Amino acid sequence: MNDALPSLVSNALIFLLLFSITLFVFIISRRLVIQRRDALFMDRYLAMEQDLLQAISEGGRQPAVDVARKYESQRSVLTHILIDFLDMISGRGQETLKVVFECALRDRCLKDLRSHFLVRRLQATRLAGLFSGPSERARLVDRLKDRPIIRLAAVNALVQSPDEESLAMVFQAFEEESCPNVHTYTNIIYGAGEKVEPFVREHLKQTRSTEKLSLLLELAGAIPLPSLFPDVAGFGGHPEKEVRIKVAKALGKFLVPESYALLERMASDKEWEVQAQALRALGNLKNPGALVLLTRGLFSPVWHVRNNAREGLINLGPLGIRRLEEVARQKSDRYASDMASMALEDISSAREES
Amino acid sequence: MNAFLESLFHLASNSILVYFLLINSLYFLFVLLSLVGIFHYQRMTSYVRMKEIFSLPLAKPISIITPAYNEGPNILESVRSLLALEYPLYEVIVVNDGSTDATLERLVAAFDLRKTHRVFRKSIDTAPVRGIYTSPKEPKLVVVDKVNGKKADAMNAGLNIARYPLFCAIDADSVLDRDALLKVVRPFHEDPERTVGVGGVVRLSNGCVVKNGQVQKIGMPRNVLARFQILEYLRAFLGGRMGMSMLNCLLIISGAFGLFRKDVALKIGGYRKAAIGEDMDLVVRLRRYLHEQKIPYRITFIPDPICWTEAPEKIKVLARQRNRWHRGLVEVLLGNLKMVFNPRYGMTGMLAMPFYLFFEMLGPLIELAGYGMFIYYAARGQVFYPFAVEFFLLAIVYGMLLSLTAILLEEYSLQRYPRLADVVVITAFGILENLGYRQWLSFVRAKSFLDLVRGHNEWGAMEKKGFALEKE
Repeated sequence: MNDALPSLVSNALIFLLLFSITLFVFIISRRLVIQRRDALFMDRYLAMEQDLLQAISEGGRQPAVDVARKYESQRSVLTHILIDFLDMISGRGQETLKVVFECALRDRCLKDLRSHFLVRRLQATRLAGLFSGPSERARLVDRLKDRPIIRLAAVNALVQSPDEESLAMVFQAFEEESCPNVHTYTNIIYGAGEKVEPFVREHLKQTRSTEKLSLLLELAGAIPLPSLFPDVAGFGGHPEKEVRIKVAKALGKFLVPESYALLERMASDKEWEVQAQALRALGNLKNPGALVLLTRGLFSPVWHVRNNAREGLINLGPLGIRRLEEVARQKSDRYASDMASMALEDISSAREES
Repeated sequence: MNAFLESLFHLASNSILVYFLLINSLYFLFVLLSLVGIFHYQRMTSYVRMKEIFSLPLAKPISIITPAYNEGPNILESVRSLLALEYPLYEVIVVNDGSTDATLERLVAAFDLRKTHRVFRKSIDTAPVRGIYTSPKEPKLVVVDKVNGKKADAMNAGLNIARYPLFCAIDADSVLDRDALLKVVRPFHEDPERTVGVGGVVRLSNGCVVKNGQVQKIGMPRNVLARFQILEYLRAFLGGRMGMSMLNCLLIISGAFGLFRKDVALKIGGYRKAAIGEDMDLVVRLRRYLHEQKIPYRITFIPDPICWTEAPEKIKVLARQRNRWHRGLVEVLLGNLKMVFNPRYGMTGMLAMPFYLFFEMLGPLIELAGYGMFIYYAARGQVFYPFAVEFFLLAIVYGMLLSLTAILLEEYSLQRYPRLADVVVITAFGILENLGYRQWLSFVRAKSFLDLVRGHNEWGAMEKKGFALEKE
């Protein structure tokens, strides 16, 4: 073995040296090519930008069609500029962008939606989400059966123009989705706003998964959908802590006076997380009747409960502030007194700021 | 006896050759995996609008925790950079860890800080907190002044104060790209249940122009040591960490820039107070805990959110820093020996831990042993010089190849060095580092074993030039 070693080292040295030199040449040439390509890209981009701005300021369909025809062979630059403009332009200008997309890029995008390559499908789904209209819905719906990352992009695309049929598909996908992705669904579905109300109501009745139920409740609160109060309140006694927490959170956003009685009960829940959320919600309701509960919360042994009671009392207004002053003065519970002092300090610095 | 010693030396020298081959092959494997990973990541994130996150109802708010010990020259620039980040909801917690310079005074003056009676839940025990300051000018900013307790303790104090479910650990001598949080948080939105930690790229700000808390112009530093370190950072972040992340066994998320789930960090007791390398220690303990609890998780690295940090430009300071890093590494590995070659810990136990133990930890010792053996054989006239020279050249070329692949990764992922000449300079330094710098680093790292045995626990303070002093 030792006799073979020197020649092995020599050969390895020559091989690695050649490899390194090739790699170096590749890096340099790639950089040169990319610099040239970038310069070309920029030239085209600037030219396109001029024409696109012109088309947007003129308005109407024809100027947009002209831009699309002129640049349909430069798909990559056109795609980039459309995405950049989408971030910058709102209102009617976006319609011009959509017309350009429809005339120059739509066909290719639809073809790529069926591509064998994951990346192409993903990019096409995202593009379709940004620019396409209801006519592409059926193809996007097909993508709901694709891999998770494309499913999410498809859901995102579908809620951009949420009609009843799309939303039904999206919620169906949500119901069938495995748990790790459901948070992301909730984020995306939120974009559809109040239109999701009938679907949330229906799925609150259907869903068996605690996690999905919690997310639907959270969604109902986040949008918010106060008309779902009776449905949400029905879960106030759910055996799962997570669900009860989300109920209290949603009720705190609904601000429905009828929720007071349920929140009052939840403020005495056996789990401190539920108590904490219920106290915050009671504060949001601004019902003076909550003063006693919120004060009691301030003396809780659990920091989170004390903290939320503090926020609740601040939200109650002058009545709550007076109570905070009293608690800050008392000496029997230092933790409650500290929490009340902090609240008063926050209030005074907020006043200073304003 | 002599014959026995001879054969022992012979065996050792052959083992060193095999070791050399193995270590370089593994590095090369990681670099190849990184290439695939970066290429894939870039294509998968094309047409993603990062600002979409602003419209998400469940966008996770972030607490940025910045421990600061004698960071006077940089602190204002860093905090301004953090306050200017693009993210829907976040807070910046600066923990002044008993600085003996004017760190706190500068913060108080610049942001009109006022002492508050803020009450917090002490989830982790820390050195006493002297005061908590908030700013009417900057509601996102909270400054915690505490008795010195080292970086891990300062991070824990920040964790106690943090209000949000994710926390981002950032060094006070670093600045983030404005969209760095938007990028680094993506895995937490895409896979919120499993993602526990995400690391981004740390790059050197030496030679760059930093103004208004942002890197305005990227340039090559004039300092030779900083140039060597540029290459090291590229290899470590784009090569090593990306590669290990691809194999789901990333062990280090830099303390300079990492995002974690607070609930999981609190479950393992936060940062270990006595840890020298607190960043690696946290990730290894997270992995250990999650594997033992059989909780599916992801700790991942993504190649585009950038954090800029200042590298030491003086040899003494660099030696102190590397000595500390190596002591941290040794301490973490020896503290978790149970994980090495233990299939219970998956790829972490079967690949990452053995790799770090045998190649990163013992590497400097074995390299020095190799030099020692060369001297021994040379003294006895037993060196076959043509072979020795060829082998030395092979080591240089192998090292250069790895550096070139790291540069290629940089070209694919970021291409931040605008001038072609910069690429040539970095490549040249990839060759030059083999002629003295690398050997010196091995010596410094090997010496850390001695310091660890002697119980030297000092932090190894950095001397900061400060971003603001950088000349355009």
